[in-house]
Amino acid sequence: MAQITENTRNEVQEVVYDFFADECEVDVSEISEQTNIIKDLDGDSLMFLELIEIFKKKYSLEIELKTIGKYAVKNPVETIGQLIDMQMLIIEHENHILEIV
Amino acid sequence: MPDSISAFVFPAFVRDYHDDKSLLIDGFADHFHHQLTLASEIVDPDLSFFDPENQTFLDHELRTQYMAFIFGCTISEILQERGIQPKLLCGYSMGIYAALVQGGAISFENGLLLIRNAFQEISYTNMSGRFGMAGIIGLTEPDIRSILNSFPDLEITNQNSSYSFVLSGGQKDLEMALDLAREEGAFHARMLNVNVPYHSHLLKSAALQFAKFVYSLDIHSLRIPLISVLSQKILYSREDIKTELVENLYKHFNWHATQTRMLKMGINLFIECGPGKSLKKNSKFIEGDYQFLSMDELLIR
Repeated sequence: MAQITENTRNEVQEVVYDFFADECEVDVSEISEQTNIIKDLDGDSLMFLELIEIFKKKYSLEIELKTIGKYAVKNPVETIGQLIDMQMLIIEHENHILEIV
Repeated sequence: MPDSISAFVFPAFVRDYHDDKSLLIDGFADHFHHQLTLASEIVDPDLSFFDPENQTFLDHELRTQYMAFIFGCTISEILQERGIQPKLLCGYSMGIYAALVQGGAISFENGLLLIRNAFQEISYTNMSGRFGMAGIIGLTEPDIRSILNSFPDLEITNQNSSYSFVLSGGQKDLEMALDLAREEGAFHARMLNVNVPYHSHLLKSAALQFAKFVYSLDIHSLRIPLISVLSQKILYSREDIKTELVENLYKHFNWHATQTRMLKMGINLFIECGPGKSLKKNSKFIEGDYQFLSMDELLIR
């Protein structure tokens, strides 16, 4: 499992903000933790998948996509803040994310 | 792009026009309206009411094919005028018709007539029940094959990438399979906005009727080769094209394998000749050292 440091959330936040600013052609200053990914940014599932692939490479994560999918069904993500929180859990727990109570 | 070896790729349908910036391309509007007028005279007068801001025709399966075709042909003309020539052409599913126009195998008019005739033959086919297609993103092929063990009449009719698949078949079976896919952890499992099970064996009889029309047409050899999304073979001859047109209705295709084969052939620039960026978005999940541009990225300077 990847080591979580104080900086990890900042790193994740920066990647997520930059990613959506680029993909959705909006200024990064328009994105906040409260931004709704679908309603405000017109985001889609391919973007979500691409972002997960970016983090899998960045943190050398061992996790199956369908494990994340199963987690997301039970814990739906709507906002950028929720997405960052979920990404932190993925980095911390990898394939054990479904065991979180 | 001095060292680029390019392929023009043509999408089949229009999903929406939100991403489309084609009207910002110099000369696009004039070319487009000329072709739209021709198409409205040849196949459907209502095409003249097309208005991208109001997302016209997105729920009309035949007209949205016409629109993808007209966009593709318009962009081809503009690219040719600017001296941009591809090494290879490729049509995603029903995008084959615009690719064949670009390659000089068929005329614009015959492209429209092929689209109409194929659709008519499909609608005459006596299939009982409701049919369609569905997309699943986030599962692997073995995961999906495992789900399909419970639905023997469903077919995987296309693979877009390692984690993106398209199914065709009966609507009820598709909906139940999608429920299982979501339970299995798919990020995205939805019906597509079509009522025809394209690329499935269910269309074989329609394809055989369509063949009569295909073989009656004046079809030429290609000036620029076309890669088959069915077999990943390179096609030039008129006989190969006729066979491809007929089989394209009822045989499975594989976009992932097709783009991978193009990369192995040395293609390093893909240009999406259609509205939007659906093929470009998909390409992010296909590994390789290449650029994938939508037409506005290439032409708006």
